[in-house]
Amino acid sequence: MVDVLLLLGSFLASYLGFALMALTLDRHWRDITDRPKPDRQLVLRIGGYGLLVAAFAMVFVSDGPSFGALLWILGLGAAAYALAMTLAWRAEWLRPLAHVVSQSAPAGAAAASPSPRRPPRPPSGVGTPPPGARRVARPPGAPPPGKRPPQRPPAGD
Amino acid sequence: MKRSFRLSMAWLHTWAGVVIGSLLFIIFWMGSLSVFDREIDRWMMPDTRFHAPETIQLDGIADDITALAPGSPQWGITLPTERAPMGRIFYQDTSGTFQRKYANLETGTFIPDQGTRAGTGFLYPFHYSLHIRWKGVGYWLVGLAALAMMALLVTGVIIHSRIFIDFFTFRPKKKLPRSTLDLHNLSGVLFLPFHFMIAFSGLVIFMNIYFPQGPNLAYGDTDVPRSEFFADIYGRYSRDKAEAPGPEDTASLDAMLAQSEAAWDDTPASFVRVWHPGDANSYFEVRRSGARTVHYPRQVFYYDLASGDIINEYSDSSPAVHTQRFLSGMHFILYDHWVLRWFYFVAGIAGCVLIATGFVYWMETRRKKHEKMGLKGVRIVHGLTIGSVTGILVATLAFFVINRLLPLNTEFLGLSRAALEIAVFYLVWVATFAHAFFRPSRAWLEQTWVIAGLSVLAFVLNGLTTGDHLFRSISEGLWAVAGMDLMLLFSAVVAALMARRLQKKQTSEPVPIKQAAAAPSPAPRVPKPEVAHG
Repeated sequence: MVDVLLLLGSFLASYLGFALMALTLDRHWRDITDRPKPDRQLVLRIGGYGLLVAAFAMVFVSDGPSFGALLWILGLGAAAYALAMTLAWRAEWLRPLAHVVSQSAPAGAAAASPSPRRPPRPPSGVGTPPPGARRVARPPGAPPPGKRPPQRPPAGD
Repeated sequence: MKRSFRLSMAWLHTWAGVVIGSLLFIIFWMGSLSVFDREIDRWMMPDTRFHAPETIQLDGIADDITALAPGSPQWGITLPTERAPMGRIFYQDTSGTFQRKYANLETGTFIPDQGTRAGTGFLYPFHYSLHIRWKGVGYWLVGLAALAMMALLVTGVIIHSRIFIDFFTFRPKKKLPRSTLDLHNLSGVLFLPFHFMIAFSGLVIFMNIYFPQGPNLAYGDTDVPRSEFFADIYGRYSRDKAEAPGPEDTASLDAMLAQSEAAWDDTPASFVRVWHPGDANSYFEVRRSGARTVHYPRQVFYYDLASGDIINEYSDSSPAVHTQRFLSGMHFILYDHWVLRWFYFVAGIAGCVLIATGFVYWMETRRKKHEKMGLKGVRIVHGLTIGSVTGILVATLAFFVINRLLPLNTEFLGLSRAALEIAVFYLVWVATFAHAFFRPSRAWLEQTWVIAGLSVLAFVLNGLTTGDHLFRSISEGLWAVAGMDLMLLFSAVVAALMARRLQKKQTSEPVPIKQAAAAPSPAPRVPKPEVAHG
């Protein structure tokens, strides 16, 4: 039973680790949410890699070094594949994660460095549902998100 | 310099892919199926669908085998496992030909011949030998493909400049060449370590075929380098016949088996064999199974059959042998680990996706240009691709369907039942090539529908002909049968979705506006082959 949990945990950790890394990429951030992208590349990357290492630790504990290594490598591939498919078809599932990331950013972090890229896509953009259909899942206890900037994140948001 | 390097790598990637891609797809497809070869066996051999016995009885069946094979110089049994619950017996008949028989080792009864080579006998050898026996050409072709796979992976990474930016990128709604390339990159990059290792370990497994001179170098100072080499790495032991009858009462095979397993920390044995049955020098061989470790162990006990004493013992311990066994064990996946087994299957199918999307991208980017230039080659590549991608899936499913249609003991035109199944496989496969060549614009779509149809048919036939429909197989815990049925249904759904997508493309945009002036052949393309095994 513990082994099953560790295996599931390892897969989940790989998936989340890759999700954090995907959030550092402008394209995926825009697929997931309209919010301004906080400038936290380093934190996200460290968190992402940390989770991947944690994933290895879990399979190492449950299955030992040789099975663990195989499980880890294949699990990474499968998790990344799953994440890519999530981003392609159900990007909104990752919105809570993106919001946790942007809300836990230090004050002003988001404002300090607006994404230098082009403004968010129009609502009818491919790959994202219209804004009306979105249900923003907020983590419990988090302050309600302000009105989303309709346009390119202005500096004084 | 850098630019030209990348260009030359792109050239290598493209042409190695086009030339060897069909072969690679076949090997990956058969390899993915081989991950579940024993489950396919259960599905195709209904009389072997039972639970592995808790205890087995060798002494009883030994007498039956001796009666069955008088004078056979040896006989052996591959012992039951969870995945293959019957004992697989082999012996030599009076003419010296090897015969095979299955038995339930709990009850000690033989199982009637199932008339099929199924997964382990047909699909799995297809994976490593392509069933080309002539001068071992099949092995060399597979080796070449493995080498090409490694070269393709390396060159693919080199030419894929945006590897980290595109790491998770898949844009299914973009135009076809783009979404295909996304899927190609994704499948290639994410499973790169696995695909590289599987190609490499595949080569290592056949080191004796690819480097036959190795033993001669290392054992050159002995009289028989090759057998010395094999004695060292496989612990091969032999004792000549005494040419005198052995004692009436021999040591108990079950006791010797139990003693061996106890010596291996209760790891089960995989195989037992009696040499020179009935002779005074008769001896008994017990091999350890690889159920518990990634590396495939070679540990053997030899017992004197008259006394029951150990006369020889082998355990691989040298680092080189251990490395080879780790790599081959990783490839063979003979250990018990369901999660890993499924991961292997997924990664194998990802390899199929990788190869198929590579083909589709190649055709998409060149078809119009080449048609304008009047080149005939594109049509050939197109036909070959369809035949080796969807075609082999159709043929595999036809193999499953015919297995459920032919009654046991069928013979036709002098062909046994097993041979008939294989004949159907090849006939259908050839037909898919012909279909692809003569109906290039419809072949993808039509063959995808055929895949969906055959999957459903195989599923239904299993329920009708064996009574082990999905509810029963699940309630009785026959997971091999249930899993196979579920995968058939899954592949039917995926194929149907894919076919509908292709159909929409074909009807809604018969002629892309931009290229209306160019050759208006609206060949539909599969963005992704059927992600399922039949």
